[in-house]
Amino acid sequence: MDMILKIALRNIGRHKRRTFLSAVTIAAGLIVFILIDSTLTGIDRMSIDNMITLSSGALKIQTVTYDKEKNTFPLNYGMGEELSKVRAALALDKRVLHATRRTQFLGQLSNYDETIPVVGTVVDEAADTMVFGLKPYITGSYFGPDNGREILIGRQLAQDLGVGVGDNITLYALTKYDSRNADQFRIAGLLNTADPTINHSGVFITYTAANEFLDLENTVSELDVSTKRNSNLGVFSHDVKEIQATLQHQFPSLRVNTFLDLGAGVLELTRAKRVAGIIFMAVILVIAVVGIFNTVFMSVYERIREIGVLRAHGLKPRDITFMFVLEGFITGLFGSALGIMVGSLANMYLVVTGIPMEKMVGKIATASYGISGNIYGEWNLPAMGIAFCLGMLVATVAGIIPARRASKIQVTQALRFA
Amino acid sequence: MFYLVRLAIRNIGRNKRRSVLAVVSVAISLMVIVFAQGFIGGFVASFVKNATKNEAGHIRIASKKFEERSRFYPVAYNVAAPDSIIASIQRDPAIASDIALITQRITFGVLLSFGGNSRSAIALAGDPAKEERLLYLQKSILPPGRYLSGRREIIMGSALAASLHFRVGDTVRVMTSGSDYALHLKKFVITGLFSTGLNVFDDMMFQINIDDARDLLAMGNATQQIVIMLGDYRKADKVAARIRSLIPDTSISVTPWTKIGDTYTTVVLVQRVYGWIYIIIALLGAFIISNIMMMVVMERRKEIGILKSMGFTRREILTMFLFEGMALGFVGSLAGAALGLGLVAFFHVHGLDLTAYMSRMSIPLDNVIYTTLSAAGLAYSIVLGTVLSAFVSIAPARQAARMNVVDAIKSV
Amino acid sequence: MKGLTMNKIITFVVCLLSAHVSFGITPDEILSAIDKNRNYGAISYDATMEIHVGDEVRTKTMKTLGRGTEKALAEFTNPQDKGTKYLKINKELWIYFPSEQDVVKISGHMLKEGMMGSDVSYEDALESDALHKKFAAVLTGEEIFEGHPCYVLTLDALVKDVPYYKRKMWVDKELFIQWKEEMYAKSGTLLKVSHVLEMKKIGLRHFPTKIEMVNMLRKNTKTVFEMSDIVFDVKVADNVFSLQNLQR
Repeated sequence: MDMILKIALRNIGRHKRRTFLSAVTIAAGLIVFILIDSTLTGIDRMSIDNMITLSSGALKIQTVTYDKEKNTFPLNYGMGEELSKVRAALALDKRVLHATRRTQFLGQLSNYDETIPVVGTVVDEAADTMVFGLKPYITGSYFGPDNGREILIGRQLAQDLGVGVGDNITLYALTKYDSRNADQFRIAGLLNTADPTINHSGVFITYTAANEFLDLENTVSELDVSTKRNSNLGVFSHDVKEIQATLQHQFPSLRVNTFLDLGAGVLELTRAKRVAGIIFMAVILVIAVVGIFNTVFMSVYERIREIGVLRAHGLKPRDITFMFVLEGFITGLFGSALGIMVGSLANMYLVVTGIPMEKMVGKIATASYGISGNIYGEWNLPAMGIAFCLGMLVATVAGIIPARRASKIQVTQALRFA
Repeated sequence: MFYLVRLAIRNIGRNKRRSVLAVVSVAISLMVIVFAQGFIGGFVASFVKNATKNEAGHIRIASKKFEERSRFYPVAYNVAAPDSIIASIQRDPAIASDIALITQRITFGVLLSFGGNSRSAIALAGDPAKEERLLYLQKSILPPGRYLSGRREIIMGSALAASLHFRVGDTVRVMTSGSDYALHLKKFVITGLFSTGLNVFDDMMFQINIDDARDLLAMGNATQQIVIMLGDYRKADKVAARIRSLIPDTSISVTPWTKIGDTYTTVVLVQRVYGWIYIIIALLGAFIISNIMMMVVMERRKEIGILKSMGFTRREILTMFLFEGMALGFVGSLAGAALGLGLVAFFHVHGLDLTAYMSRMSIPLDNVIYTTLSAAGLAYSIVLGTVLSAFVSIAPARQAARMNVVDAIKSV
Repeated sequence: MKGLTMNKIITFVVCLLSAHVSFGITPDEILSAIDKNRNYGAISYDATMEIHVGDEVRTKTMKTLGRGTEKALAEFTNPQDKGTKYLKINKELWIYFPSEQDVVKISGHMLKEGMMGSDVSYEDALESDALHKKFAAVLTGEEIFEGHPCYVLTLDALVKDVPYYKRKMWVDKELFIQWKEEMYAKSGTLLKVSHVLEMKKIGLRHFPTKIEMVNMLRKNTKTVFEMSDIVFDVKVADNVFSLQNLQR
């Protein structure tokens, strides 16, 4: 046993190039696997992140009554005194970053020719930018200091109405007391985001404007919360759900929804894409396995003469097979380790810095979809573990069959093999 | 030049095992690439289908005024003689075989009335049998309900029903403004409630039979939309143009999915992302080939030395190895492509059902992927395989060419 | 002597006071006069509603029975709506559909919608509140409107839950009918204008018989409501204005 190990090690040393090639093949397979898995996960995560930063926030808190009636966008059932208490509770959790108030209303936008129904959102212009990321997607400008008559609308909406930045547009809505109001607002900016609902029917005004226009009296229909991002979706979801549970327990008169509750549709599509992703991962694994197998397989055959020599020295076929297995194991270890190391380094870059979306899919994304920003990778340790073991396994096992075959050849034949 | 080719081929034959190994690994890579192509094609087709089936389908025929105001789902601008249009499409030999499904639809906003209150909702009216293959709402029906079968039946989103306190078996009064600008009412019985998991459906929508909708909207025999699904989504522009030529009425527009909404942009996006993955798979396959070629060269040092001492120039050695690599690559590519084609053909007919992998069985999406066949794609893959093999053989071939004759001959 | 002077002074002061009173009419009095005018007991008439949207005109015809402004029953006679009946009792509205022999109540936000796509909302049609209860009226002037001398009244809402925050009326000085009314939103944007196009004297009453309503925020639209065959004080049993009757 001992001797075989020594021989195995020495063989590896002797056939450095071959060993290196095998190891590199294994490493390459692993690196590609890790990076593609991370990128695909990152793409999915991007959709979820977009949803969080554009419409749902990590958590959305409303009163139970409002939650029931939310399809009619009432201006009643707002959060009263609970608001300050919730804010205080949120401040205690270190994972929470910011919270901002918002109120939704139904209205119509008109350029006198056409009237389009819209869902309006009243925002607190300063705090909103801490929780939601609308600003980067604005053509024109965000709300200024004198925003009582300013409005932000979706780009598609603006196009349908034939208006642009700086134009005036009439917004109609019912006030909190069901009185009709209509007034002219100046379009400060157009929004082109990754959320088509915002682009097609999104309208934003400030509380300053709404208190006047809707007789809102600062009614708050929801409190949206942002939390620290975690590169691992599982951990992130867990944290958010924990915060949800604590708050829900403390405030039974409120309904606390997480992005998971609110984004069922987006999450389903993500899962569907995941299936395709998994199939690709399997494909890559297959190729990597084939490559490794190939390399090891071939290297065994190249050494038939050597096997003959060993046999002539009295080594049994079983020992020879075992020697190759060992060599394979060591090569596999080296290759897998190399793969994991380099893969991890590359993945770290992906996780921390990310790839800009434009590089991957070109201008078309930013132009029409309003997607900008980076795809961030994610650490998938179980997958890396599986890949590591698989690499080792294949390298170890790949040598068995040819070694067995080779060691069964008559010694004299083997020696003559060229 | 030709003698080099012959030599290359003979060399391949000499070391059968090694050649077989090389060919097999190229073949496997190619098989995967060809299958991946078919799969991505099928996936994109499925994506397009799911993105369009609830709205305009692959091609929509509707009045121009409707398309302009589609955001409002108007019921006053309709297609007057839908049956004859459909018949003329089905009779046309140029496109009849491209059509997978053709059906009439009406989508409109209504007021649902209950107790003393009314609530707005959106009605989806169509042929219930055909809608089983489009809306798929039959998948999401909660027990003890059932899907639509007869007239005056309605299935409704569970959240919408809950907000109105409706249950299976209740009578629903649907009131709306018809195409004659008069207010109309019709009563329906709820046969089932659906829970799709998607808010847009469960909170706002219900489905009824299109004949009931026509009554309710005083539409006579007209329809708001004719929705067409094709066997191959890529043919939409062409088929739409052909249909356009069959309909002389210029107040009607024929619109392919590529011109409606963001779906087309998304598809291009998705294809680009998967395009990258595809290239990576191809490169991986090529990497394996380069691996083999490097070993080949290493093992044949002696032979190379002999050849050189016989007078072969560097260029000739390089060319010979290059041909070997290319030939191996070509054979492997052909074999792999053939195998891949077999797989793709199988799944093209039978489909790959991913429903089991979806987290909820009730989502109204088509989860079966039919791989797409593409002659161009196949040719591309074979050429890719061959060229990559050749490319990847350059380095080892160069190495062989540069070897020192004396050292080479001495090696074992 | 002292008593007489006292008397004189008092009389003089009283005269002055009554002089003030008799100099001008108060806005509240104008409103009350308008309200009184609208109280005509039972009425029956045939009506035509022309809905103009751009170049299209849709015509609805109906036969109506009413009691004051609180109760009304209208049955449509134009082909598309034939047999459909509307019943108003105070602020509530029900619609009867002959095809289904069923009744639906209209409430909530739908009341703010235009009736049948017209510029008159259900709310506008149902409105019967005494104006002086919810508005503070100010007499802002006098104008001659289409040959009629009118008081111009401006009404500002006293409460928040009114459909229109501000209203401006041109009221005929003699007849106390509104020739024109402008309805404004909280922001001051003009929302609707109603305009009496024709008025007839029927018996002792002056009654507006043709009214035009324009929704200022919709382009090129207007609704014209014309009444004919108007009969006052018809014999109408009260149970005519009931749900049971509606469903028959």
